[in-house]
Amino acid sequence: MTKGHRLNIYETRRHLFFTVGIIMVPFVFLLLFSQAFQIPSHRLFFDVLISFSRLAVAYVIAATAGWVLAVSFYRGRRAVIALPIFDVLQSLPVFAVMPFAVFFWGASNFTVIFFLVLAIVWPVFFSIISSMKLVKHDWNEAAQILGLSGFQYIARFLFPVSVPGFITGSIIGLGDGWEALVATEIIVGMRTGMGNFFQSYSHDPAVTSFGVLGFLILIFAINKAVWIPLLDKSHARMEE
Amino acid sequence: MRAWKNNLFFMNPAISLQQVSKAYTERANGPHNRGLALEHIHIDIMPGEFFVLLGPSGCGKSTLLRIMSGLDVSYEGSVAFGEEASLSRISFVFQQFALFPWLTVFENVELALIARNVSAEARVEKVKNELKLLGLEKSAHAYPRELSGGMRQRVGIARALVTDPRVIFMDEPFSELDSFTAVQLRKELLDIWQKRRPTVVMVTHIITEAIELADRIAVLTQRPGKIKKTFTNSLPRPRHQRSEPFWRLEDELYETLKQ
Repeated sequence: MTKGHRLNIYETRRHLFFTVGIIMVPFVFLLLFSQAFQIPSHRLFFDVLISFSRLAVAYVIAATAGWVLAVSFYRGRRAVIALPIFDVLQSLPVFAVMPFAVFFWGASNFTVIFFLVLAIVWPVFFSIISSMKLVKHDWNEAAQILGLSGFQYIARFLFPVSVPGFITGSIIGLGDGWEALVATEIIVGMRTGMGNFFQSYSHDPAVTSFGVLGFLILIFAINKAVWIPLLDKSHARMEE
Repeated sequence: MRAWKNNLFFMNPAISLQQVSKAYTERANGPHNRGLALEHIHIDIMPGEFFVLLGPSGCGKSTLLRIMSGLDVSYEGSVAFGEEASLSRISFVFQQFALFPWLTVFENVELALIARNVSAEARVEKVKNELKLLGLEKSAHAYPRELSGGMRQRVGIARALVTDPRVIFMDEPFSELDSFTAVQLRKELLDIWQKRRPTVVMVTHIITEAIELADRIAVLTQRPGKIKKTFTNSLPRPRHQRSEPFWRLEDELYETLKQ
């Protein structure tokens, strides 16, 4: 009897150990980096942590909003009306309104998270829409015949079919989010976070270069540890 | 068997179709150019009957099945269910199985019971029974992609049976299978139908399949689909394809389809 696995994204124990090793790499790098350039390590780690937290909060909000919007508007008359509107909205140059937002909300976490949400939500939304448009007609009919409705329909049908698009959208959205994160922190003028770190060392090309390298290692590690296995698993689960 | 057949005359139909027509828009020829997929279909299907819709590809037989099952609601005319049957007591077997790939065999079959709020304990028992009936116990925790076509359609049939439906709609359920598997599965389906007696409405374009299974066979015309003729199939079961009455009926159906 083949056993069914629900959330086993790491295929072997070796794969799991390798992944844990990869997660350690950015921490080791940041530690060596802080020692080499005599940067207080607690400051460096704090800046990374605070930026990471802002991005994480923004991601949770954007992913939830993107998913709810996508399952609400992926088909029917609502889709015909709403999708062109969302398409225009995603093209809005959000950074143009940043000074305006800073004027109202100040240099706050709220301002940074607000702009990060705007950067992440659209890739998540459109990837889920694209994933759900590819859902086989037969599956929809089967769900209807089985009598799935309301919460059961959402949890047992809409959610699983949206997962591959959700993962893809998350990878693209977080890529945009990382990019927007540092820029937003610098423009808004935050006193903490990686934006502040790069701003503080803007006169030092070596620190900036190694800082960017550390940043890339961190993103690579997160992708390798979490998103790529999730992407592979989500697509494998939809294979017929 | 004979008593059951005689009783048919006094029963209300399980499904009654009156003047059902279905139009579609031919986009290629402009938005206002409407064609007819089905025209004035009138059928009464009796409870416990095995009814087959036979017709060439594209004649609208699958569309008609979807109208009967409530999957397609844009049609003219009326579809009425008898006392025992209703839209909540129907199930459907799909040509290409329509199993959910993210669920195991067990979970696919269980889903219909979850949707009907059956308790977890009762669900496990019912699903196990159906899997056993269709020889799927050992594949309970496998995913559909790990199964052959024949096994997948067994899961499709188990899923259709688990809610104890009064009407089962089947859309060319054996057309994706190799001939050996199809023969075996038809035999098993017939055994199950004879034990449980649901009303079965099946679509096929294979004449021998229709004769082997059906009590009555409605032959549809090319588009727009109309009922050309309905045959009562009183050959005794099991039906042998090499018997004279079998191939006589086969010839008759073939000639009707050809006209």
